[in-house]
Amino acid sequence: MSVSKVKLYIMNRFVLVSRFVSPALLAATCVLFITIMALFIPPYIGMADNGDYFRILYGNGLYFNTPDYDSQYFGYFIKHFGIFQYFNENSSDVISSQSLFIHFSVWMNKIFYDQQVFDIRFQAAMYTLLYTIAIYLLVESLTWKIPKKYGYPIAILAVLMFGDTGYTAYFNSFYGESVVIIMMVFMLASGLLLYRNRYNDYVLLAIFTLSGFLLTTSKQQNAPVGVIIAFICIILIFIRKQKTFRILMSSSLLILLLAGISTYALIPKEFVNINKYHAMTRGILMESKDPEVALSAFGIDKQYAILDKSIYYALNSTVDVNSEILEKNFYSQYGFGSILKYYFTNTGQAGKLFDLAAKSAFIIRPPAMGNYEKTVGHPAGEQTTFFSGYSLMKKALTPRTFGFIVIWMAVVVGLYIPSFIAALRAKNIRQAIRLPLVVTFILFGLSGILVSIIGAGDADLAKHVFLFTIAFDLVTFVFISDIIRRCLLRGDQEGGV
Amino acid sequence: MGIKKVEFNMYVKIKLKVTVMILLLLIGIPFSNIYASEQEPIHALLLYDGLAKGSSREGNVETMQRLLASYGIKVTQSTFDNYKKGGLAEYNKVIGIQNLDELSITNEDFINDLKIYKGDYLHIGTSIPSAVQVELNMVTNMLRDQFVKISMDQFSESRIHVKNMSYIVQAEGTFYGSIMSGNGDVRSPYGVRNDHFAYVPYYEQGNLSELAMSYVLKDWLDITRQGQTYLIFKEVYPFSDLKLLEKLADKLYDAGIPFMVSVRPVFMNVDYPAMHRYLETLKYVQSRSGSVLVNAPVVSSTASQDGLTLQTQMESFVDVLADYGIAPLGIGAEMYWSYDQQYAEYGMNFFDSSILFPNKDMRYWSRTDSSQPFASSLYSMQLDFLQQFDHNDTILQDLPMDSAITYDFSDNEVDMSKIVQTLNDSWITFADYRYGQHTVHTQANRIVSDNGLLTLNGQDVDLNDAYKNIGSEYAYTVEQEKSFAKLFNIQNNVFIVLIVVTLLIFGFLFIIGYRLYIRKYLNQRRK
Repeated sequence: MSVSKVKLYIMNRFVLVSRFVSPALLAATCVLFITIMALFIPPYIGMADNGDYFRILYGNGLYFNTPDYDSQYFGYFIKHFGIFQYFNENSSDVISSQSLFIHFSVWMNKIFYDQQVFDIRFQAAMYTLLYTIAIYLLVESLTWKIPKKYGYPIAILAVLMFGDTGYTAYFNSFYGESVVIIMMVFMLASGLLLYRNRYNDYVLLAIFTLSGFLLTTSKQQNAPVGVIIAFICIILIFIRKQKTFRILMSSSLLILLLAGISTYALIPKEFVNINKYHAMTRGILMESKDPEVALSAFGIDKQYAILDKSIYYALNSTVDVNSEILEKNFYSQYGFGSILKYYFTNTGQAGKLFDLAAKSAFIIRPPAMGNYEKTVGHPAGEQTTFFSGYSLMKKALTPRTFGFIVIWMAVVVGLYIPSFIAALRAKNIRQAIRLPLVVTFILFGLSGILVSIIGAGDADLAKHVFLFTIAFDLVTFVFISDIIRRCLLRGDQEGGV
Repeated sequence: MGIKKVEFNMYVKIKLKVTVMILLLLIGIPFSNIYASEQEPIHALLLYDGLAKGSSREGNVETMQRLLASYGIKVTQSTFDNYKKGGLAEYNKVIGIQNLDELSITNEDFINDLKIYKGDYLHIGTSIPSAVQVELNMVTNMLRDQFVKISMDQFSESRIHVKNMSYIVQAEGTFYGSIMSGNGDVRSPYGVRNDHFAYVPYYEQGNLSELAMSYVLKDWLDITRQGQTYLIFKEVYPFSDLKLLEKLADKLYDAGIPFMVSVRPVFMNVDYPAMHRYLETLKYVQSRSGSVLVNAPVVSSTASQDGLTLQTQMESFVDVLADYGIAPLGIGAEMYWSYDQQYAEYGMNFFDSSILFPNKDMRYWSRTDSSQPFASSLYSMQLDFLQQFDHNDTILQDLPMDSAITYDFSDNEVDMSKIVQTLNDSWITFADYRYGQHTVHTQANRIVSDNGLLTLNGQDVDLNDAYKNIGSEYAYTVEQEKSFAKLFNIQNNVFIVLIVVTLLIFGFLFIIGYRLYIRKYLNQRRK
């Protein structure tokens, strides 16, 4: 068989396969397959508890039923938990959309598995299914009606980036990040599908609003997300002229704005105190050349300089973070606004913290938590490398400085501006929404960093800046896809139809 | 033959002991220390049916534990249900608390063991074992839903509401205090004791029965030493109002009231000026008849606790104090610390003296049923507690156990002044903690107080050291030494200039290019 015949054969097969398997379907199937391999086939991959589970678990009717649970913190993934059989006296400490998913998976668990023991893989199964749909929609939004030779590379890129177990391992955990990942993908996908004018606008609007709502209410630190969407995505109101659509879209944005405000307002006091404590001790004081001077800027007694660099989670400490003395003389003296003002007037200090945040901003999998069960026999805290090429590469190759983030933002926004201006000139609003969408996601990421630093200093940064991590990957993915499909500068022809 | 051998062994032992004592005397170790190390604390078994949570008796087991600690007793606690056969024989002193009226002791092992028990047994509450009734030749009756008056020593309290209470109708032995019903129908002793057995019908936390129990206990435990009353301020942080603390020390000093402060330990930034100010204040307090105790740290989580960390941290703080000329004399902690193997071993082991505060926020690490006893331990109580009782004399007599009137130090000057005034008016004679024997030892330091003298590694502690004002100058961040800093700075500036110039040229060329491009179309259109 000559070379040309082989080529022809491959081409024929490719055409045949591509008729039935679209890039979106390919990407979704691969992600599903890889995630099943990782989470549901031994050795099961998951995330170890870093002490945060307690808050969400007990409030949702579950408890730790592993006898040596305490010794497995950070070290090992645990897949079984007890289900409260009688009255649960633990009121929900955390108000989070995550509770909905936990309740649903517990319900499924009770039907199909056990009334008393909860297997976290029921939750993982539900998340995996949702994630697969989200990935399908995302890839579809970028590959619909474009040549297959561009579509499949985009699909493969999606699999490499989002099939990574750095992300999917979260599904076998009680961390709110699972909801963040899925809802971010849904939001971007529905936004881009609106832009591409694919599927029914009203259905997409519903997905956009619902995912935005669940994202905003999934974690307290996501409170700004609702506010950002509400303001930046005002442009979405004008993509259709029908009054119904405009009213619905405006209402959606209003709901998201309110969701953001209420998420902030409902933050339990204990979290406020822990984060407030860190905001000062691991933020302002830590990077200050003279902590006593920094304290005087807030009208706080200089003796509190002794708390410099201290963390709430220290095993043994001088003061209880919820003590009266701190409430009266320390926390009452500062808030989000005054810290923000301080950083504006002390930009050098802010820069140092931003750089510190950037160091963690490109690490998908927090280094502290192990991925394996204890029974597997791996050492405590060992992490998987199964399908982790992208996260490992990202960790190793990305310049982890805030300067790089600034350059990345400038390049991305700069290169999307021409198509935005062109669309505005052509009065084609649908074509113009791509840039606001990208900016929205960049702002999500920045808010993740900003809220982490202002809200809790450098404490637990690897987990706190997760919003940036996923936002960076999503925007970069869209950006590279637009380069591949030659739509970066000129926009899409299909939009605005 | 056997008896002769035993006698010979005893003779050898006594001879050895005498020789060792003479040797130790010769090398100069104080005799009191030898005595202290040889004296084993009394080990008592505390049995109870339940903690009576939600009832007026809630907390009485904990109060009993604190009382026993203040008498230097090592306690092992258990419920009646968990009692194992033969357990009583291991103890010379056993206390049984029956809190639930409707349930009697059903553990047959306990009932049978008590019948043949040779040691001392104190029963509290209802369901009195027959052995106690027989030994004390005691007849009891019940009072239901009444107000009673309890009197003990100089104290009395009326209108104590009792729901179900036994009272002694007839008994043989030494009687303690009295209980009188509100209508005067019933008048019975508060407690009774003979050589081995004792009985107290009523014991709750927060009223006079809490205090009355200490009188019965003292005799039952054969404690002969009279207790003393101390004054302690806790909640002293490095960021408390230190000037106010100094003022308070001055006022108490002027009023002739010796006092103690239980100070929060600091484990980091101990070289900061803020820490030096803290130390300077504590030193000042020490010079004004104040004794310093180290308060237990706040334990946030025991999940990944490591004993050595706690040990190192506590030791380092004691050393920081000692190095600054401050002599800590004991530890202040919530009582549950002494019932936790890890806290006792790693956090309290440096101290032979303590003050155990009531439990507030229990975070056990490795809970145990046996307590850590201290040679000296104070019973913490608030002045309001004492003042609620009527007393015969103007001057408040010392209580049977060593106790400490406890206050939280606050930053409110008015409140602190009021406290000093109240203490002045209280007619309580406060003892100086330094006159007791207290030893704190770390690897680097040995701190001893005895008869008012503080010594640090054998040297007298200087109590008149001049007060130093600590400034704010301190190098918080160590600037890293940079190589070729100047060169790189120049290089940076050169690059900035180059980039700006390039951008300008690029912009200029862009504008020219754009104009040429536009002109081309304009020319075409014109043509």
